[in-house]
Amino acid sequence: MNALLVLLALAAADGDRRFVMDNGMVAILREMPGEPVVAVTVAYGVGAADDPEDRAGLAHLVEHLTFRGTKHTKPFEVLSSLEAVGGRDMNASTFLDATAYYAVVPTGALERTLWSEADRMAFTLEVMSDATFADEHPVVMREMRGRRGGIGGTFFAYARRAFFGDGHPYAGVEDELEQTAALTAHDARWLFQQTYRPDNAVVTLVGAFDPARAESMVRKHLGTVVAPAIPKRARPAAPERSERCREIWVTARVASPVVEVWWAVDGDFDAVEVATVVIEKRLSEQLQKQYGAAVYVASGVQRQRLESHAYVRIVGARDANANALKSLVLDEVRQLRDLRFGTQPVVDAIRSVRGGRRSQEDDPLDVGRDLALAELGVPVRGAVPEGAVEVQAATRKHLTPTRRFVAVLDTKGETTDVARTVGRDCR
Amino acid sequence: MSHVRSAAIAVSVALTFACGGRSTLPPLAQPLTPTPDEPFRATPPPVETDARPLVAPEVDARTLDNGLTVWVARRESHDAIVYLVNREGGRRFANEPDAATLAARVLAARIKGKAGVASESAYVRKRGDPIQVTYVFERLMTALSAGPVEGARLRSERTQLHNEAGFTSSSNAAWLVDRMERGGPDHPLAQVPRVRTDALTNVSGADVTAFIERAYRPESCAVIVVGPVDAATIHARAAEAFAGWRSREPVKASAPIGRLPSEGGRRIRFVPGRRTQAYVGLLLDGPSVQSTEAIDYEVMVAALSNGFVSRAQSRLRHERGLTYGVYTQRRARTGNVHAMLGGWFDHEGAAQGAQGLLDVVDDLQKHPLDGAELDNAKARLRASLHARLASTRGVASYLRDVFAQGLPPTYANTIEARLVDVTAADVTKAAQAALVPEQARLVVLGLEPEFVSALSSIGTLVRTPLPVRSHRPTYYGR
Repeated sequence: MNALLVLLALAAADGDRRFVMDNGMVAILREMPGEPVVAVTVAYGVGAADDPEDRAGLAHLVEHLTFRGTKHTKPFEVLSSLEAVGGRDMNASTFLDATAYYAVVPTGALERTLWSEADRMAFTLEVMSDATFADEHPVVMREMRGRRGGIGGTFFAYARRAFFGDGHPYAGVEDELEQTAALTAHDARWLFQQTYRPDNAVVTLVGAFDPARAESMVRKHLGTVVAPAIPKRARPAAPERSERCREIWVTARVASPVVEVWWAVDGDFDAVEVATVVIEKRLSEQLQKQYGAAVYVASGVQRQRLESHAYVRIVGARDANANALKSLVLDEVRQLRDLRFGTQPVVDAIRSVRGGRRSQEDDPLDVGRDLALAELGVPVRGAVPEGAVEVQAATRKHLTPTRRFVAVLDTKGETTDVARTVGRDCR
Repeated sequence: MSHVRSAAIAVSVALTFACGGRSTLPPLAQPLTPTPDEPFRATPPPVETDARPLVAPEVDARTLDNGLTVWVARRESHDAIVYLVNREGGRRFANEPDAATLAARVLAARIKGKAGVASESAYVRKRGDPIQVTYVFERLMTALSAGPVEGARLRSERTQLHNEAGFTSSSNAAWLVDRMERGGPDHPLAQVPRVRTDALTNVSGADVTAFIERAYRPESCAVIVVGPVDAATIHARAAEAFAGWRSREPVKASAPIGRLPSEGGRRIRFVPGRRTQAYVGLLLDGPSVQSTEAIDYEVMVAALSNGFVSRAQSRLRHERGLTYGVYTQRRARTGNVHAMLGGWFDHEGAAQGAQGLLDVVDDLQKHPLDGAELDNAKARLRASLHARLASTRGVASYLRDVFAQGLPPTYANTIEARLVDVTAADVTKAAQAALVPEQARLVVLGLEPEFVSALSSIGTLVRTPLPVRSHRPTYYGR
């Protein structure tokens, strides 16, 4: 929890104009000199983890439906009107913990954008009809089938459920597509009324603008939206954590194995991120470049409100030995714990993470989204560690067998269906 | 007590069935809209005109005595980006197309950078500390003149390419079909280069070495530097580092890939494969990027797809819910631009999707854009270029592309004036030039038995399996 507070402090920095309006909505304004544009983000404290029981996909569907017009605008006019005045990157994302709407607009279109977002929050519900639902529901179904279908998607969803455990808000459900298919317009209207309200929302402006004028626009359009006269919906809590040290093997008729190694992480996110990058780079050098035993190696830290985790992912070459790939990951972690390969790979990884951060910090959209998510309790990027010792310490603390979870998609299956085995490995 | 409990269970079961197995969410609270609908809510506030001009990055451009182009653009940023772009480094210029791919990858590996290879051009990129730019020049020159490509480096690159071959994306497969249709099935670029194991094996270190020596000649290359650097210093260092790079005769290339055939009737190439949804793509012709019609074509593409409110998105996504999105990908090749309008559809909706794509282009050929559609398409083009030119990475990739396409670095300065002149009639004309409906060529990727018969009502179906061989991971040369 302390780590989270530190990160939140880093998120809203000195120089930001942060204020809470009378209706409970939080606003953060950060000036960023350069191009005369503003990244506007409005994020709501509702995400996939907030889907009511038996209604997987509802938050995502609501996000889609809010583009289908308001009392004052036609369907998709929120997008076309901003496009017409030079807006870009207009879209929305439903995360596990939040739903964010964003756009980068010329500074002269800032008030128009704030007007649109206030209109979305205050005047969508009365036009969220059965007809608009019938138009958008198939689009959402098609998006989900495209993204989550196939053996890879089934494997990842199964791994996620096994990692978080049944009942965890992040676990997802096996019949997600069926649940989404059964959603109704009333479900969507209900969740919208419960959660698209000013006391559950954050607006961030990042870019070139006059702060006083921008604040007055924010207060006029978003600060005067009235919340419904019902209590704010409680957000899900994380269940008690049992130790991880679990391993699942999924076999299927696939060409290449996939190995996922995850660790539950509750702090030191930036040092852990560097640690996973060290492992990724060393594995990539050996498996991709030297032996050709892998086609893809990735790593990172998935930062989330209730529970974060670090991961290393390998997609093996055709018929590569999954067990050997898994052993290599675990061996790299052991080597990093003792810095057996010296400090240079860690120094290189620190440099690489810093480079990535610099380009993110230059992008007003990235910065605005992070500020909004931090306000909603999601841990965000902090300071990159200075040296190898900090990374080594974080490895020893977080990348341990008891926090570890391994999921393997092996190629030995005879059918296109997945067969699953679950075991324990706390060594 | 027990029968009371039984009755409760019966009611519960009845309710469960009535609600499809789920509890019903409570009714909505009233009023639905507690926010007063004041006058300022009903009318959107005016927008101050976006006065940002479209301005090309300021480039200090010079040509060395050996013909090498050097472009330097100063920008305040943390890192500097160095590109080596070769207009003639693409697969069309190699006897065995994979030699071009391996050559760029070997060069990138030698400078610890990234490579990209297309039909026409290839590039190597290095991003890093600005003080390392001179060092990158030296490494590049060493990489170009390092002699035979053999040993572990070649094995490593070849093995990676081989392993990636098993993961050829749907996009690669669709573009391969595009090359088959335009160049004919015997064209070297229509030969499944990324997935043909034997071809890959046949490319020797000598082939790669020879390709680097022949095709990477200073006259066809540019070194582009973007970042917080001093242009005069960079030019002086470039002149020193690349002075020893000798001029050479141009490389003999295979014939460029041209326009779609104008006879043979409507054809659909079907690529069978295990996919959860079917990809449907419609091939489109475009003008040369250097022609005056190029801007009309760009507006046409923007009006047709990519934006949320474009015609294809409106017709196929918003109105019919057939797909999550319709997008146009484009490739600038010698002679003209080639594009593919496509999207992912459920298998049972693939034929509807194919017909829908044809209909939307047909409609644009017959019904001009209205004023709002035209303005939106232009605004979208402007905004994307503004966004690109706002970052160091974007400026560097813009300069890479304009050099590869034979355009000057000042190209962006000409766009606004040309954009203003584009009329709805110009867009209609571009749409008419992009496609002859009776001769349309489509590519469809998906599960074989599910929808093939439905597609045959649209055009002649040609089954085109792409051979992805099953093989074990191979460490070449060991």
